[in-house]
Amino acid sequence: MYVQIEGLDFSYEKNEPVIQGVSFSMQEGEIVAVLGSSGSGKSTLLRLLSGLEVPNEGKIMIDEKMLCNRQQFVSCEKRNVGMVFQDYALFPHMNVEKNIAFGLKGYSKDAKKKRIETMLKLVNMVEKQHAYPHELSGGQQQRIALARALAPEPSILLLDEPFSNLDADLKMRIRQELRTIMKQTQMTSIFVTHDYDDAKAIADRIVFLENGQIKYEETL
Amino acid sequence: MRFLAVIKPRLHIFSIISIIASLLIILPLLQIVFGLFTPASDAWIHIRTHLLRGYLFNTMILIIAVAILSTSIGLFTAFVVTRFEFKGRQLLSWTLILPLAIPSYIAAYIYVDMMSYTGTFSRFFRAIFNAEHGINIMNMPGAILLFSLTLYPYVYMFSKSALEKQSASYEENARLLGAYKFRIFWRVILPLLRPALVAGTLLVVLETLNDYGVVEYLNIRVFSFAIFDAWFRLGDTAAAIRLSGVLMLVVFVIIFIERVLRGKKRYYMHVKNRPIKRVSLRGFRRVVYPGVLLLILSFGFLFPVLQLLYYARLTFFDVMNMAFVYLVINSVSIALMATLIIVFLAVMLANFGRKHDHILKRGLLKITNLGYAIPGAVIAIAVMLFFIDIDHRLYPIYRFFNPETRRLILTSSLLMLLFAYVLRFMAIGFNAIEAAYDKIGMKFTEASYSLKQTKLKTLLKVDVPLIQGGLVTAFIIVFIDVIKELPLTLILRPTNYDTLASSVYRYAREEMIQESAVPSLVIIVIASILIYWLTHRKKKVVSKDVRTN
Amino acid sequence: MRTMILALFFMTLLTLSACTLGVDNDQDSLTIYSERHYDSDQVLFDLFEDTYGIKVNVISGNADPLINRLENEGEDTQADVLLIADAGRLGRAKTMGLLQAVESDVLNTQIPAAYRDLEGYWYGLTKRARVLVYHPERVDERELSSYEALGEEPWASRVVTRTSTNIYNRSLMASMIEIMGYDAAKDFAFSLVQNFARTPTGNDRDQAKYVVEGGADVAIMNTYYIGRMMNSADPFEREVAETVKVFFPNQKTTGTHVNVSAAGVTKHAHNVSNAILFLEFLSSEVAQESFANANYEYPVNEAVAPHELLQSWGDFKAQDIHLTVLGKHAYDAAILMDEVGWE
Repeated sequence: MYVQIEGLDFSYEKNEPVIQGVSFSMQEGEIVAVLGSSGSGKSTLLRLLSGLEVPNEGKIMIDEKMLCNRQQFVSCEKRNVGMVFQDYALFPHMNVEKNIAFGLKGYSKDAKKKRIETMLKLVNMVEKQHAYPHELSGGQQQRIALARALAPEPSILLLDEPFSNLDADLKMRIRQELRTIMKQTQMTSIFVTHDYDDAKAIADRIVFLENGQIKYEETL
Repeated sequence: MRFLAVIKPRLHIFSIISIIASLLIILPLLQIVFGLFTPASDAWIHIRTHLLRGYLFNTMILIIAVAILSTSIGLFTAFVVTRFEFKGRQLLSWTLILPLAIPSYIAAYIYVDMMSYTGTFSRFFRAIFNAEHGINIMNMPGAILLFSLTLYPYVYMFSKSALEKQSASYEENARLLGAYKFRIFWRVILPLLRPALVAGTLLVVLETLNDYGVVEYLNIRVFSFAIFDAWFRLGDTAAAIRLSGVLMLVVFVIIFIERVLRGKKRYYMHVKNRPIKRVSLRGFRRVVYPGVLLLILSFGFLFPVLQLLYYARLTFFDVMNMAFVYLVINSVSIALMATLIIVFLAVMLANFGRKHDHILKRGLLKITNLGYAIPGAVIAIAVMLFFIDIDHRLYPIYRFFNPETRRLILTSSLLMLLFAYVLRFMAIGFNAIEAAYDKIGMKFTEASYSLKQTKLKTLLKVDVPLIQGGLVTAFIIVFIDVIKELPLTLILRPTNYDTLASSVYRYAREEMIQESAVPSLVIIVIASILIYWLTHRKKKVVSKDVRTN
Repeated sequence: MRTMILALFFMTLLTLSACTLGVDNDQDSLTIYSERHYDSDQVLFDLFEDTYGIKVNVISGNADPLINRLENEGEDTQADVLLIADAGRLGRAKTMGLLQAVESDVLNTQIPAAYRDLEGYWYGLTKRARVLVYHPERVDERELSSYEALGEEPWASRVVTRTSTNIYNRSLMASMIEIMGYDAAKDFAFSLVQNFARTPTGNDRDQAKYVVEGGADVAIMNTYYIGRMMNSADPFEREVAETVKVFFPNQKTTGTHVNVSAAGVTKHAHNVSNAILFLEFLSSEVAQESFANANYEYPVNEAVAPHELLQSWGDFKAQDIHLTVLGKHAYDAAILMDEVGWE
């Protein structure tokens, strides 16, 4: 299995557990939607996978690499996990090009340029290369955020409520686009959402999360 | 059980710097706390029987009156400037901050002079009203006025920014619900302003409690006066420490009462921000409102500065020499050094405390910011004792390098003074930077981590550019505070080391107010330029886009 | 580029600032903790530097913090000389073991025995008298007699002086304790406080101004302030100084209260001989001329004539006590003044 998560437990200090005994696994290239209402712990699950939070208990393994268990913990910046944030978190002081280049560590100048070009082509935004985030529409921002997350070739892509900031008619179009891009890149992806339609439109499999526990799964 | 796994990802270089810095700040303060448990000395018994009641009473009167007066002035000026349109509004809106450029002690020296029999005001009153007696301001009401006039800008700044942010929808809603203007002010605007008012007033109160220059000069027997009195006149450090213990208790009670009163109410809710349109002033108000503002500005800034300019003209050539140039260089460079250290540590600490996820961490940060509540007198004792202790501990190391060495290397060095400044003003830098961090939230930083960037690179490439505004704010206000600072500078400065503030004090103490004018003006000019910078720097486009969630 | 310029600017500042720092404790230097910080003193220190080739470092501050600092620094202090404008405080420093006794024939001849510590712990350098300053239109000189008389009925609400925290008043009370005994001194202080025209406030100059203003008729203040006001940059202060008159109290009884600026060699001085040389220099005829007169104080060296202004006030009889007692009674004086409500 490409992604293996076992017995994940998490709680914020002195509070009720947020994630309880979550286990699931994924195959390479699979797209999984985590569906749950607000407060179900779905965003926390992403933060645990990305290494932004440290679980109390449990094991995370991606691509044969142990990221977290009782003995070790690989911090966020060393995990090679791509993430698209709910409100995209594009750096406002950098233009599109710089935003995408930000995660490209260890690339030569030329390679960097090529990679940016490739990513911009992938999300169909070549003409916006020099624009600043505040000059872009919500949909455009989302595409750049996606390009930025994919640019360093992460082992897995995490998307946190990717559609929550978009208008309804825009959402329909972008959903399709997103699935195309993800399938095109063969990217193993997890995205969390509260909208069953979103999940159905994009995912290969849906995981239902409730009170920090997986209730059931549905393969599409 | 999983201690390592939990702690390891957090224990990076920033945390280490933060923890060391906060421990260094806490240790000297602990000495004060331990000092409270030493047996009572004769001097303490004397103070307790004869003086303590008076100190408490005077301190209470002073801070309550200063709080009320400065809050009224600050709120009134902020309200007029944000809600009404009139000629000169733009100019007044930033010049009203300028009284902050005048240290309270300089204001006291110059006002006492102006009000004394030979002073400008007294002669003016005699000439116009044929008044026989001048107005004596060397008393409690005088001190209250002086503090209020020089410190109200804290309230003004906080209220102004809150009023500017206050959305019109609250007020319009209240009007739709049929409330009258007066009622709207008391029931809607004022309660919504409360956090800003409290923050500003708290700063005013803490500054008042910290002051030594004014209360010494006017002989107002309040706590900081008492602490110095016990320390120096009665020569009893332990009694001084006890007094500061009582004073700290007073501060905590004030802060606690505010917390309790606030209870569960919330003052910030996200409402679409639609700024209120300023109303043009009409009729007599067109003259009266700006006139009152101008009057406040005149008493808070223009009159003292004019008087100082006159004296500076009289004494310029007596005072101006090479030593004076060094004085300016000393003041600016030490303020610069202290400010850079504070801003650097504040960034570290703010970073460290961004995720308030551990109770120990929260406690550590709270204590680190305590310095601002402790009067300079007490910090001076604590730092002095602390450094002597360090030097004794490090003596073997010194001797290893140089067998002939003195024991006290760090004590009375510039480092000690810098340390004291950091202890005292850390909170100011920290709060400015924390506010900037709060505004941007965690998402950009987390995004950077998810893009495989190290903590250091994230700090430099993402955090620092985004909190730039906060950094500049922190830099400016800390710098102003350090260059104005008096008690710590007086007591802890190294041999042959004078600053502008210490030389102003020296002249005033020698009853040479005229000669103190030039160094006073240099402080005021530097601070004024910084205030101008603070109010006029261009907001970068990027910061507009930083949406909060 | 901008960063470079900023960095360069900062470095220059630091270097320049460092130049003013640093005290080298080699053979040819002397460090002084001084409460006095008149510009005329600095001129004299420079002269000493030029004459003897000994570098003088000065750290100035208020008296008590300096003493406190000396105590804290212990044997590591850089100070060689402690210079304070009050004999009482030097007495305190002596009791605290911060000074050392030094012997010098030059000092003993230049400074009368009354104005130096008998064991040689400190040596007076300039004298000032605490006198009565009155408004000639409202007070007849014949009404004035002594400090004690100011506590009596005719002076109700006519007397001003500064606060009890002020060292000049404290030393005055200490001398009264020595002369009258504690209880009588306390009675005197009590009656004096009843006759105050206002709650004590302001500095010595303000007391004179208040007399001219008409708020009070007589002020207790130091002689040299009148001299300095006469030479003030502010023309209106000069006017005040010329209006009031000076009266030396207790001439027929115990004498006027006199205090000194005095200096002692610190216990852990690095350079005792230089320190003694420095004291000898300050009390020499050459130095006394400007050391005392520039500030309108009385020189201790009897070979030097006081400033013309001081001469115009005539000779006076000083209290017949040894100044060491000011230190002995300093604490009692402070307590006593608190108890009678002298603010």
